[in-house]
Amino acid sequence: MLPIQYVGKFIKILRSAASPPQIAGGFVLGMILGFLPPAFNLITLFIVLLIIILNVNIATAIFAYTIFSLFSYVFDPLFHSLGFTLLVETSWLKSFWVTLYNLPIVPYSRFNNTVVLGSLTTALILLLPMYFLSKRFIITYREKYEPRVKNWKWVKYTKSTQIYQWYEKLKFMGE
Amino acid sequence: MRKKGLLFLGVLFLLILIIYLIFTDRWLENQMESIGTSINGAKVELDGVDFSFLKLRIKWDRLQVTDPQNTWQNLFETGKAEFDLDLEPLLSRKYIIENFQLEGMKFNTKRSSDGKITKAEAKKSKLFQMAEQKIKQETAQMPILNLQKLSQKVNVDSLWKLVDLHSPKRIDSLKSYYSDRYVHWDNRLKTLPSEQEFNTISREIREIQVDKISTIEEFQKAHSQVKDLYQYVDSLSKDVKNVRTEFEIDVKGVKENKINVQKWINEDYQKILRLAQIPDLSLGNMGKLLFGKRIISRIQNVLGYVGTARYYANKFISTKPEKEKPPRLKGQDIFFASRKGLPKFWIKRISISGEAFNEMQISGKVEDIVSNQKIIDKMTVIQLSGTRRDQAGLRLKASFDYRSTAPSENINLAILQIPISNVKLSDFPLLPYRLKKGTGEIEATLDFKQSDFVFNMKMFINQMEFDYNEKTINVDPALARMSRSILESLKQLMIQANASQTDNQFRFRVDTNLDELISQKARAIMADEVEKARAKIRSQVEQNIAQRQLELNTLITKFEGDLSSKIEHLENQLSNNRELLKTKQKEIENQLELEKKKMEKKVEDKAKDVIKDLFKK
Repeated sequence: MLPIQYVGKFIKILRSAASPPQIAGGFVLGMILGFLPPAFNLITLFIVLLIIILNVNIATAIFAYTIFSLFSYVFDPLFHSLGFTLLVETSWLKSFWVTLYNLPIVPYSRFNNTVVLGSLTTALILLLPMYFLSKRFIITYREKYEPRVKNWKWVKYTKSTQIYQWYEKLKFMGE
Repeated sequence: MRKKGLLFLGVLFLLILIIYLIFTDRWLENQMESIGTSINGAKVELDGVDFSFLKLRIKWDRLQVTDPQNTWQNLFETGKAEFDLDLEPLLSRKYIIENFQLEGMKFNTKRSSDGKITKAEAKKSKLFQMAEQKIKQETAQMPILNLQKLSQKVNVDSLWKLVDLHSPKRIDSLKSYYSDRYVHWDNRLKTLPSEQEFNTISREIREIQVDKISTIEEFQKAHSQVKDLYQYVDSLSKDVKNVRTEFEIDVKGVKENKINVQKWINEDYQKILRLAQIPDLSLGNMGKLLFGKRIISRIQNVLGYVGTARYYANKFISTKPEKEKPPRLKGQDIFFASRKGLPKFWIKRISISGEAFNEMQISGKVEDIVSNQKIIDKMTVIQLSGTRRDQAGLRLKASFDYRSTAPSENINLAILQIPISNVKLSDFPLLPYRLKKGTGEIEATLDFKQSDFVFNMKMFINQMEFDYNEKTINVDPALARMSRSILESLKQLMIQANASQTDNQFRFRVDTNLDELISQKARAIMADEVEKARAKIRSQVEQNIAQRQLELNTLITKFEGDLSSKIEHLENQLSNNRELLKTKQKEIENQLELEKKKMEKKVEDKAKDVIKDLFKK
C-alpha cells in the first residue's frame, strides 16, 4: 500500500460518521494489537474479540495495528528488556507471576515471554493518554480542518481507489 | 456491543475451525520439527503427523533425526508412533505424556537429502566449553607423524637459524662463575703461609742443635721453642683443614653442574627435534597417534549431547535465568515454579523397539524425560538392549541426574561380538587398508559429575582380515609394504583408552597392542632418514657447544686440579714440619735422657768415691 493511500485512509477515518470515542477506542485497541508480537496468543485473541464486539471503529484499529507493528519491530529490544526486568529482576512481582503461571488457560497468554509482557505493559501505559489524545485530535480536526481537507485533489483521488472500496465494504460493521 | 460484530465473530470462528482442521497437522509438524532441529543441531523431520483434538492424541508415520556429525545419515529413524496428551495439565500449558511407543527404530540409516542446517550459535554448556578447550589443547600437543615429511630431508641448516640454543649461554655463565670462584680460592689460599714461611719454620726447627745442649736452661729453652712451633703448625693445620672442607663442598657443586650441562645440551637437542617434527616413536605415543583423534572426537560428540541435555535441564528450572538475545519479536520465555507438582514437560515412558547393526532386534525404554527433575524427584534413564542370532549383542544404560545442584550423568555401553566390515581403523598413514572382516567388542563407561568426567574404554577386534587389494593413495610403496607386514602379523587388536578431566586437569591415554609392533617396524623404515637427521642435529648441537664445553672442562680441571694441588702442597708442608718437630722433640727427649744418665753416673761415681774415702780413713 502506498503511503499516500495510508494518509488518504487516515483522513477518511477522521471524517467518517463514527464518533470520536469510537475512533479513539479502535485506535488504542489497534495500538495494543500492533505492539504485541505477531504470534498467536490469548491476549491477541482477546483484543481481536474486543475490537469486533465493542462498538469501535475497525478501520482505525487496522490502521493503528499497521502503524504500531512497525514501532513494535523497532522497539523490540526495549520491550525485551522491560519484560525481562518485570519477569526476572523485580522480585516482589515473582509470586504474582508464579500464581498466573499455575492458573489454567492463562499460560496460553504467553505472559511469561519477555517481549509479550514488555509490549503489553507499554501498550497499557499508553492506553489512556493515547485514547484521550486521539479523541481530542479528532474533535479538533473535525471542527477546524475538515472542510479544507475535503477539497484536496488527492483526497478525491483516494476516494476512487480500491482501499476506499474495501473500507466501504467493512464500514457496515462499525455502524 | 454490535450485533453485526457478533455475527462476524461467529463466521470467523467457523472459518478458523475449518482452517484449523485442515492445517493444524502441518502446523504442528512444523513446530515439532523446528523444536527438534534446534535441540539436535541438525534436521529433525516428521512425516504424516496427525493431531486428534478430541482424543488429544498425536501420531506420525515416520521420524528422522539427522546425525549432526554426518548430515547425510540419520542418527535414528522410527516408524509409526503415537502418544496421548493429558488434558488437565494441558489447560495450564503443561505437556504430560504417559506412554509413548516408538516402533521400527533404526539406527544410522541413509538420508535422501542433506540434514544440515545453518546453525545459529550452538548452545554449549560450561562443561562442554571447558572440555572442548582442554581437548583442543590435547589435540594440539599430539605428536604429528607426517611420514611423507619424514621421507624428505630435514634441512638442519635452515632449522638452525630458527633455534635459540640455551646451553651455550648457560655454559658461558657457568664459566664466568668458575673463573670468579677460582680467583676467590686463589686469594683465599694466599692468606695461608707461603713456601718461604714454611721454610723458615723448617729452618728454625733444624737450627735447634740438640747435641750441643748441656744445661737445664738450654733444655727448657729448646723445649719451649718446639712447643711454640707445634702450636703454630697446629693452628695452620686447622686453617688449611677448613679451607679443604669448604673447597670440597665447592668441588661437589662443580660436579653437579657438570651433570646439568649434559642435561641442558639434551634439552636443546630435543627442542630442535621438535622443531624439525622428528617424531619420538616411543611406545607411549603410538596409541594416541593411531586412534587418539577418533576417540577424542567420539568423546566430543557425547560431550555435545550431555551439554545439550544440561542446557535444557537448566532452561526450564525456575532459577534466575540469564538474559538472552533472542531474534526480534521472539522474546525469551521465563519459566516459573510449578505449584501443582507437575513439570512443564514430562514424557513418563518411551517404549522403544526396532533394529540396529543389520537385523539386531533391539528393545528398551526411556523413562522420565522431564523439564524439571526436581519436581518429580526422578532422573532420566535410558535402557536399551539387543541381540542377534549370531550372538552379537548391545547393551546401553544411561542416566542423567539433574536433581541436585551438581549435575551428573553416567553412560555405559557394551557391544558384543559385533561383525565389523569395510572400516578404516585409523587415518594414520601406516594403516592405510580397510578392515574387510572382523569381530569387535567394546566396553565403554563415561561418568560426568559437574565439570569433571572420567572415560574408560576397552575394545577388542578379533579374526581380522584386511583388504590389501585396495589401492592406497598418497602412501609411499615402502610404507605400504611395511603396513601390510604389520597387519599380517596382527591377530587381535586391543585398544584401551582413558580420558578424564578432574580438578581442571585433562588427562588422556591410549594403549594398544599395535604400539610395539608399529614402533619396531616404523623405526626400521624410518631409521635411516630419521637417524641421519638426528645424528646431524646432535653433531651440530655438540659442535656448537663443544668449544665452550671444552673451555668449561678445562676451567673445572684447573679449578679442581690447581687449587687441590695447592692445598695438598700446604698440607704436605705442614705434615713435614710436624714430622720435623716430632723428630726434634724426640731428639730433645733422647738428649735429656742421655744427660740424665750422665748425671746419674756422675752422682753414682761421686758417691762411690765418697764411700771409698770413708773406708780409707
